[in-house]
Amino acid sequence: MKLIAVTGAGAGLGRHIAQRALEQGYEVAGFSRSKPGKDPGFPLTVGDVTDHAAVAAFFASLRKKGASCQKESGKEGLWGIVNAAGIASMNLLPATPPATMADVLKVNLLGVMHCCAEGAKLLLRDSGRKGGRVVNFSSIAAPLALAGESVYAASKAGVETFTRCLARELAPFNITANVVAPGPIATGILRGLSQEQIDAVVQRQVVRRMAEPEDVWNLVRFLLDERSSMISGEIIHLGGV
Amino acid sequence: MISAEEAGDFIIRCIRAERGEQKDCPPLTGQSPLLGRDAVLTSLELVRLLLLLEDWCAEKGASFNWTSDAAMSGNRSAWRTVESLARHLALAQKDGRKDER
Ligand SMILES: NC(=O)c1ccc[n+]([C@@H]2O[C@H](COP(=O)([O-])OP(=O)(O)OC[C@H]3O[C@@H](n4cnc5c(N)ncnc54)[C@H](OP(=O)(O)O)[C@@H]3O)[C@@H](O)[C@H]2O)c1
Repeated sequence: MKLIAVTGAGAGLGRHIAQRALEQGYEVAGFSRSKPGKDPGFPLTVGDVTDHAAVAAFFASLRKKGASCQKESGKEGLWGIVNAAGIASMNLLPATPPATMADVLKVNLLGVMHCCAEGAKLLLRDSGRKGGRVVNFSSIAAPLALAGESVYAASKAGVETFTRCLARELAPFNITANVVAPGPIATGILRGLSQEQIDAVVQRQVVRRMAEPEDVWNLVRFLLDERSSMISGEIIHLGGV
Repeated sequence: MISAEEAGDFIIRCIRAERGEQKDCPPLTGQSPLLGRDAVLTSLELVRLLLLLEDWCAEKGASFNWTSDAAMSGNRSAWRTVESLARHLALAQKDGRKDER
């Protein structure tokens, strides 16, 4: 059974991905800032992706757990990392508090770097020559360069370039790294945006409908698949730009 | 405490295990390069070696942190040669102990 680590698994897309992965026969380990009120149905470690020590401890615990139960139950160790933890700030730049700018960059970019660095080490150990998968999240806000999303879009542009470089570093190990960049999807991250604002963005997509969390899972599932080994360093815009 | 000699021997054993018997390879010494054109390991094998070193240190109750700003620098990297990596490892243990005191 392949293990998938999902950050931001406490809510929204991360939780949907974790639950669907579990249903499809993956073993799942979630990592998120706060514990959800309802049992998510998979083990979830509470921690902050901006805290490098917490991220390292999370992957160290997966390593320990993997080592103790691998042989006994056909578990295969870490196969994939899905970095869905993220925050947004929709604001004109002059009105954005400096602390918010720092938070968005820390969570969306530094957090992804922490998880990829620590997760990649475990992928290298667990997957050996078999390979592995990294899936990071951007947004169509980056290629569309949306007004009011400069800090958020910049953090996501960072994730895109970071992932393309990482894909090259991990390619010799048969580990792929890709980015899923959706348009607006009804989750907590959109709180604060009016329906009118959301519609305006959706109208700029190639497919002019709002995506569902299941559309994201469909793409993540494809990228996690063993057969997707030729797809790496790609940024896939859900909805099209 | 891990000595540089002990670390060097372990590194050479790991490289041998990784490369297997290769007739046309120059013999492994402390000066065998780990980075660059003449490196005795591919980048994949080097990362695997660093992971093995991390495990080996942990078994000995020591820690080996291989993050370093100079890691890929051709002339400053601790990963330049078998010997520089072994010395870096021994030194890191000493520094770590100083910190603990
Ligand atoms: N939904 C969209 O419209 C949309 C569109 C494009 C891209 N995206 C991207 O998709 C990803 C998932 O977004 P979402 O829609 O699922 O958002 P969401 O519903 O707000 O969920 C985000 C999850 O990440 C967690 N999280 C936030 N900061 C964290 C931190 N510092 N450390 C650990 N966990 C943290 C949150 O924890 P708490 O519950 O404690 O806050 C929450 O569980 C994000 O990267 C987002 O930028 C989303």
